[in-house]
Amino acid sequence: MGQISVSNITKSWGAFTALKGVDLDVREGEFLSILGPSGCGKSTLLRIIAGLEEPSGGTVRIAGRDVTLDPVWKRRIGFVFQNFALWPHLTVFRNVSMGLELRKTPKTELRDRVLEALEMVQLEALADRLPAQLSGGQQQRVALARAIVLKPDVLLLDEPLSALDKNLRQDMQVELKSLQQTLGLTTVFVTHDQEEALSLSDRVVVMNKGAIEQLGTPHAIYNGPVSEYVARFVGEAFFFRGSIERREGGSRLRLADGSAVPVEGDVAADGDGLAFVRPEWITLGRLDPRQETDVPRGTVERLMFFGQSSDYLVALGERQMRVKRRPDAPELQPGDAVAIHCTARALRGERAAP
Amino acid sequence: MKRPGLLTLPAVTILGAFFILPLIWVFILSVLATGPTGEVLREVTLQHYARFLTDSYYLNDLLLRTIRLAAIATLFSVAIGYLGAFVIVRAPPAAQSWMVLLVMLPLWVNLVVRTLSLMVVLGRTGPVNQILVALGISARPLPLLYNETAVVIGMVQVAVPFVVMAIYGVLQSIPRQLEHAAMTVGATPLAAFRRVTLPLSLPGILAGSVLAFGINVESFVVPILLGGGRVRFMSVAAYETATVSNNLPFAATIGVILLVVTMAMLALYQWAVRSAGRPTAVIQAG
Repeated sequence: MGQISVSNITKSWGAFTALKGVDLDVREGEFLSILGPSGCGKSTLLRIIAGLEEPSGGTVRIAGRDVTLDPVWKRRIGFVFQNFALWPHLTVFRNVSMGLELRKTPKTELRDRVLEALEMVQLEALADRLPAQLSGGQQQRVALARAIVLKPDVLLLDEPLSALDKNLRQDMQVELKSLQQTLGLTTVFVTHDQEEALSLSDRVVVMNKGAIEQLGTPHAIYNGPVSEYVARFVGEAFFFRGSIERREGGSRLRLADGSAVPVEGDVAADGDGLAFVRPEWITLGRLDPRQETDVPRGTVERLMFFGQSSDYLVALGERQMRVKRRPDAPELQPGDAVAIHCTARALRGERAAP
Repeated sequence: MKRPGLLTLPAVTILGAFFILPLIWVFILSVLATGPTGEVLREVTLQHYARFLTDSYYLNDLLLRTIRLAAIATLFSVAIGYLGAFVIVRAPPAAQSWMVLLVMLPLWVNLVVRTLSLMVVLGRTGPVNQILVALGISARPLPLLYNETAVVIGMVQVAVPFVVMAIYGVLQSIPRQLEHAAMTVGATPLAAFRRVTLPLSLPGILAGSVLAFGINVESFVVPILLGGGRVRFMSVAAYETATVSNNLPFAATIGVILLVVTMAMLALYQWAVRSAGRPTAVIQAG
């Protein structure tokens, strides 16, 4: 059993079901992200772990103790809110010290611990400021210091970086991760940003409509999604559907236009199949009609430049595919006909429209 | 619009003509002498102020009582008003506008009518006394009318809606999440309220109490009707001095003294609350 153990948690408001029996174990010292679009129940799950929300059913255990019936203030948690929720009438120091004041911590110990926490987030110089006098990133750090000063059993973060602009967000990601590792804190991090989830986490939970769709390492989630939903949500994906052809040396997916794509992974026995590719799995080649008869073909529409990398937008019939440009490959021009070489990954499960 | 200052012209005109000018006239009146039959003389004097400030009847029985009753009524108004505002803010959003409407409802009824109905309620055979006797809390009907208690009850009834609205506005602007944040660091709901919501709602309490005190201290209908002439009150005394005693300058003096004392008290009060509410960071030095 993990540091946090959630079993069969349900939550409904009237006819609306936010969580449909969620089971989740968070290991000690682990950084776990809950990823999903808004409305998937990820924040509700976090708030239930914190005790800010009451589950309709199921149990929550923290550090081996059943806390399902405990109110928030009795659980030993640190919580960071999306909009920081700092107390505007108190200084940075008092914002951080309130938890210790409530526990009647002796004065000198309180002072030492608050300053230590502020030092960890590099804010000791601003202890006397009011929250309104701080930048967004600094407010974020105060919120973090306020949560860790109590040495909580678990740290719960509800989209804490989404209110920051992009550069600051990336800096804070690095800081957050190193702080979490230094303290060895069991951390649950809710986000709708897949890059954030992949880069920070030991494991990622992908949620969909109140249920866990997949739980795994960032690598497994990205490269081996269990469903079209996960493949779509966790990164850029292009889907092929067709009929499975099994033969020596691997299976292929025969598409409607007669071309075929090699597939790997969990390939269904035969019949209809669905597979996807990521932009960096694909190699584009100039089309040689004499040689390559059943390779999928496309037309380069344009090159999108992002600075450190660039993508080709390739039209395949009505659809568009993104392909990461390889630095060593010859440059293609808009209008060039290309052959699409890739090995797609087979998916099982629902057959939603592409 | 090139000169937005022009837009304030109607307000300035109305305030100037019907408030500032009469007020200046009252000041002038208060330093003019009164003739033997009550006529106003063209003779500057401070005799009215001297008369008021040296007579313990005027000072204690009139001025101090007025301030004391207004202050007590303000205390109750703010306590009751805060509770009311709090209940409304924590009610479901759909219910909130109805509850606000309910609070404002009394303001649609004429003050005299409201105060007269309060006389019925507080009378010897009124519902309050009937309940007290029926429950055995009191052996016989209590004298609830024509005394200070009646006046205070009347003033509270007048001021509470204003206090509710002043505090409701401020409470509504405090995110609920701030209390939740306090609970995540171990505060019980009561501690979270005391450490977060209460200090943040201080501006509302300040505004509400200033409003209530201002309304109460100039009360006129309430002390006349519920005090029944037995509870002396500044505004009533000024009115009687002007009409019954036909001494306009002394009536003006009573008005000026009430105004000056009230403004001084409100200024002192605001200063006290502001400096008490200022955030402190002293612990760190310790």
